[in-house]
Amino acid sequence: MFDQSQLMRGTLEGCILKVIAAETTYGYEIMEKLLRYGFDDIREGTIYPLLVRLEKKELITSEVRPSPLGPSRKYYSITQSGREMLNSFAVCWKSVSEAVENIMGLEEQGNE
Amino acid sequence: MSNSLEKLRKENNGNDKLLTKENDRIMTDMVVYLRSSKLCDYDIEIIRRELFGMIYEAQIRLEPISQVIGTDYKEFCNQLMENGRQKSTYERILEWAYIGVVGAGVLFLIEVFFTGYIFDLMKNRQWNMPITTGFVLSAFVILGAALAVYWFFTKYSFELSGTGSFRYQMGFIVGFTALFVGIGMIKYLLGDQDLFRVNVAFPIILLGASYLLVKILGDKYADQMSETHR
Repeated sequence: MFDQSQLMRGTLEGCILKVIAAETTYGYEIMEKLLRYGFDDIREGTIYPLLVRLEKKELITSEVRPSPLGPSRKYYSITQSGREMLNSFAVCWKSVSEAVENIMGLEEQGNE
Repeated sequence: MSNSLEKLRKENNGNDKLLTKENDRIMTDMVVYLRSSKLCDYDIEIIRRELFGMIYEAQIRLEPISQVIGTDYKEFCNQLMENGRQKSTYERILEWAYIGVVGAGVLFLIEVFFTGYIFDLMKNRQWNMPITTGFVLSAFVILGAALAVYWFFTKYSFELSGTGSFRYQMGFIVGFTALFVGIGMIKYLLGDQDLFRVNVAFPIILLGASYLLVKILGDKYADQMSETHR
């Protein structure tokens, strides 16, 4: 069985950056958006370490704001280096996904 | 006056009371385990506040903690340790200085009050206190042991609170007993070998001044760290 987590790890950071680039948002909302776009089996616990990592790399910044549900929430915004990283990811992803699509489109010899 | 780190820690301690017993247990295991890492102290408290937020909101939505974090809490913490900001050399030096000064201060006061020297001071005005080989050696062993106990409880927080915790608890009891006997032996065998004599006021003044200096530098550093989280 293919280990999906290895593939996810690399792509999720780029997708999180894209969600944050669209608007300033917080962890739970990012998770909901990722679920809506088809990332099954995503939890807040999956994305939180990645948000910590992106913040450490200064690709995003955070700001604490009050929440209607009780404890204050950390809202994330993308930085200039984050946008550059996102652009670079988009180019890279386009090229990789096209290559994978081409490979997957190959007919197997036995099926010809 | 408390620094930003102490304020945040106090806020987090208050927040913990809002969690259910089970959620609080899991949260405590995670935070204790995170303390075994090289993550910045300030960042650990920020992570703690974030974790509380996630768990508390899930609690309000009547969702189990596993739906938010998954079931492998240790792996989740390992990922945070891997991705978070590590302690700087300066923070580590301050941490070691704090442990050294507080540890030496407490042990010195114990030596003053529990070895009979205090009677010499009060009755005979004997200001010069003997510093024995036993005291110096046992102080190093006690400080090392305290750090080892801290490391053991933080590194094995999940194992110690889990169902298979008996082995770890027994390991701790055996290790601690051996250490306690060892310290007793050092004090007994080397307790009357004077290394030198010192005016009792000097170490107290020196340790007090060192404590103040380390505390002021620590507070300043914590406030600088808080500036990076707005």
